[in-house]
Amino acid sequence: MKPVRILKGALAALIVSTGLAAAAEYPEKPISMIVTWNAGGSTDVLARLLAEPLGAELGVPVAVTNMPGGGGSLGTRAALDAPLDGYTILATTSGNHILTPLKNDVGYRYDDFEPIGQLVAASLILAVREDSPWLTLEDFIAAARAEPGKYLFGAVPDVAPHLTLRALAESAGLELVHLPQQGGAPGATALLAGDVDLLPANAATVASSLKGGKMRGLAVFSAERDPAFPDIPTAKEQGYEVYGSPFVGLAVAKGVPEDVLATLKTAFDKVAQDPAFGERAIKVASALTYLPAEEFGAVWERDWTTYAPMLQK
Amino acid sequence: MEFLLQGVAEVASIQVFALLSLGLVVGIVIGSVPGLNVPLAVAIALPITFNVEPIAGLAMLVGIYKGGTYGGSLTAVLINVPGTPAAAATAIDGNELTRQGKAGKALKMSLYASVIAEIVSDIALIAFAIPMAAFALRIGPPESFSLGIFALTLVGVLSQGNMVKGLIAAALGLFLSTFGVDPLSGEFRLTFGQRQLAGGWSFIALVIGVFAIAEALSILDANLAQIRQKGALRLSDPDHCLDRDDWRRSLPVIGRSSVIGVFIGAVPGLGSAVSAYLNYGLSRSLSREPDRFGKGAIEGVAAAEAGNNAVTSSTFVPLLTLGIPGDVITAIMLGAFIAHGLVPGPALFEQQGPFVAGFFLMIVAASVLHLVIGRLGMYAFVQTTRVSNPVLFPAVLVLGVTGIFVSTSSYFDVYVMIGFGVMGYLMNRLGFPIAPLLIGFILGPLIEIGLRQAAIIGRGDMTIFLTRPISAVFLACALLTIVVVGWREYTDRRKRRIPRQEERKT
Amino acid sequence: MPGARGLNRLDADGWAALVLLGLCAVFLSNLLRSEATGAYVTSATLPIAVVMVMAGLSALLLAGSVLRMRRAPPAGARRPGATRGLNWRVPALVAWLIAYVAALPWVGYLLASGGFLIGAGLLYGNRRWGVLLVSALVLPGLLLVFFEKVMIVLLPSASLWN
Repeated sequence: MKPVRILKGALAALIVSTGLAAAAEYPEKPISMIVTWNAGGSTDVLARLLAEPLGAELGVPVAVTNMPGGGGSLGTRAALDAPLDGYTILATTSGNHILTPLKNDVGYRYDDFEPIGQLVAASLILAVREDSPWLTLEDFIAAARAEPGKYLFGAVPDVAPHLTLRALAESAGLELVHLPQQGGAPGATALLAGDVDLLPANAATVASSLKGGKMRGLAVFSAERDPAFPDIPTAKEQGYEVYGSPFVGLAVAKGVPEDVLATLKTAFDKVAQDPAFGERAIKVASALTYLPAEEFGAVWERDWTTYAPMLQK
Repeated sequence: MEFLLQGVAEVASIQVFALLSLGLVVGIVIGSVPGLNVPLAVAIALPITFNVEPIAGLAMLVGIYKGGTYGGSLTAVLINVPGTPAAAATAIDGNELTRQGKAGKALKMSLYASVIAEIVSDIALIAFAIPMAAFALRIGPPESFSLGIFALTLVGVLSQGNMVKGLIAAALGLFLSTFGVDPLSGEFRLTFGQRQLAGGWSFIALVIGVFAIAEALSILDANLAQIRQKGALRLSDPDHCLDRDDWRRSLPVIGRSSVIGVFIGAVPGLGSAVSAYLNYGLSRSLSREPDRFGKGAIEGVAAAEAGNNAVTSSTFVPLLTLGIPGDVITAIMLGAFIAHGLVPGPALFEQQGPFVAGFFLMIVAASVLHLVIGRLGMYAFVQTTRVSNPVLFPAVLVLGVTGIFVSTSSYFDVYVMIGFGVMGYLMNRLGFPIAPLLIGFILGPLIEIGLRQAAIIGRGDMTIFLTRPISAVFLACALLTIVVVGWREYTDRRKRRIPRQEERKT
Repeated sequence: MPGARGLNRLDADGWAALVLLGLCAVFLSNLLRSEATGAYVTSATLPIAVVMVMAGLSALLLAGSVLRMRRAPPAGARRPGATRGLNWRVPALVAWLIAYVAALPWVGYLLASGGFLIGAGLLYGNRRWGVLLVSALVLPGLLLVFFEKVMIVLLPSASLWN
């Protein structure tokens, strides 16, 4: 029994001494970056890419922590419940930040968080198969008006692509049938297999099919054309002012000390505007759409008010 | 052939082979440890791949993927704790062989079956990628539903004598999979007001619970502490070598499982676990001696492992030909492709011939290296048989807890894992088989999503399951299985009853 | 009361079936009260169907158990596996495991894991202190270094540690 007691004593002493050393300059221990989706998803990949240079900038490792589940609400909740010391940051997306809390009772709102900055605002593309008779948005709208309830579209329920197409259908007076999908890739498969007639999707999901000629883009739901797909006109150009653009960015829970927040913002700004990082990000995800903290906060508010009437019961 | 030769220059570098080997070693270790999963390992390795040649980066990811898919069988055979969900099918017969002192046989068969299936898969990918993609696209929602139902009927054969208990376990698994966010409406269901349950039951917590924790409790219960033999097992002993009889039984099974597994791999969203169970169940119901299964049948190990690893190359079919990733791992690789300016899809073969050829050669090299590294690694892994249970199982428990933290960082999931462990232990004691529970859990989403999407496609007309030919074939197979298994169960009962009555007379 | 005596004589299968039936009732009431969404086949259809099947199978199990109870004298009806008493070490290990997880946020990964390994080793009948200590020191340390330094995944930190 004796050696154990001595050992435990020694360990305890060690623990206390390291515990006392805390409360110095921020940051001085690893920071955990919560990703509310599974390892390997598009948000996760982007977060892992960001973690490395961000860690180098801050001088401590940034560890990606996957907390998937509940439409992203579990991880978001965990970021809120963590100590307010800035050692837990949240890689946040439209889904877990805006849409899930609007739709379900998850116990948080978008403004329970403080923005650090936006990393990506994906463009949404309305895609059809290459053999589809529709060449423009107008072709499709005319066909859908002629035969209400005939055409199927695939989308994950109540995420940005789905809601954006719903908005388009409402503004054009169309009746479309929703075939719910489990994710971006299954949706693209359903379009290629002919199970659905059209697919609103993140540009990254359909990029290779568009470039490979298997799909055709009818419209982009952004204010400007996507530089990666300059041939696809915006919906606005074709007479329908419908926008949608899911974001990925960083946030922390409200109540984190001012100086800590400032350190995080400075580090993030530096990394996100570094061209070397931008080049890397283009490779795995989509082009970076950096926004500083204040503007990112404004995006939250805009999206919250846009989607609230569509989702709240 | 000429097409492949263009790729030689791409792969003939030390870097490619070094990273491929590293990936395989990492994959086998990650796969074997209950709690660590392959998608996480691939995601963590991704940043590393950006600093090397594209083909070398992909080589590392492929190595992790292939090694990880196989690695689960090592711990499944040796300590009855499958490192991956798919390996639970290997454990059924593999661990039984270990108990009979023939661990080496099971280990060797699982490696050889894996590698043979991989090579079949490699060849299928190289030669038939485009027709296979066309086939994969024909597996829509109605077909997924029917395939899921077919796979579920095979549960009957896995129930080992008590069909009612096996079916209850499968229904429970199916039911547990429906907790949390409904995938097709985004609504929370069956959360009982608990926000934590909005995520549903964590799959990894379920797997570690019902296998690792339950096994640890059962070992404690049975007081098997002293049974393990002292000294390392010698892989060259005749008891640990495969003889002609073993090969005669296994080779046809490996062939069939490889082909079925290749097709399953080509269909996005099915995966290695579905393939392992489907092939194991199928081999058991088609076998002339089904009684051998569950009692240490070498062909059971072969079927599960061949089915498991046959998906590892054909899973690239939808990625390369359509540009659509079939699972998480290929999704990450899609990133790696795009990173180097390669656009998967039909144009890839025309514009990037040398690169694609190099990728194909690298995949074949991965299978060959898998054989070498797996054979060498076996010596390291059999050392676990020297570790006594009182040292091994506390460590397994710590690994389980750690694994959950690494994957989901959630205390709730750790308690869920302990709860499932107790449930698994009770199921073992009461004679409920565990494999059907896991099958139900894996097939649940496939069946439900298939059913509901097909209903929408058919606008409420359920005959869609019969009018689509592939779906109808699967449903017919399901019906056939029910009849065959039911008939077997009936004759078995009669056989059992007759001796009992004779006993009473005397 | 004959009913109570009947329950006492029920074998393990019968008890399992009763528990399952109870669970089915709870789930079914929850499912029927929740609002279902979706076209044609709703979010509640499959769960309700599965619970029904499960309840039906459990009833079958219960019926089999009751029949066995009737058919054979109570002593002979019990199968050896099902009536074996519970080994006290099993609930003890479960409790120790729960204590380990509960202690993680307080004392940190290294200390909690080390303590758990020693206690669990003792429960498994390991009395060689040298082996226990070495495993308690080496394994958590190895895992910590591997995850936090090599793979950069954080393990639970604690109020006392870090």
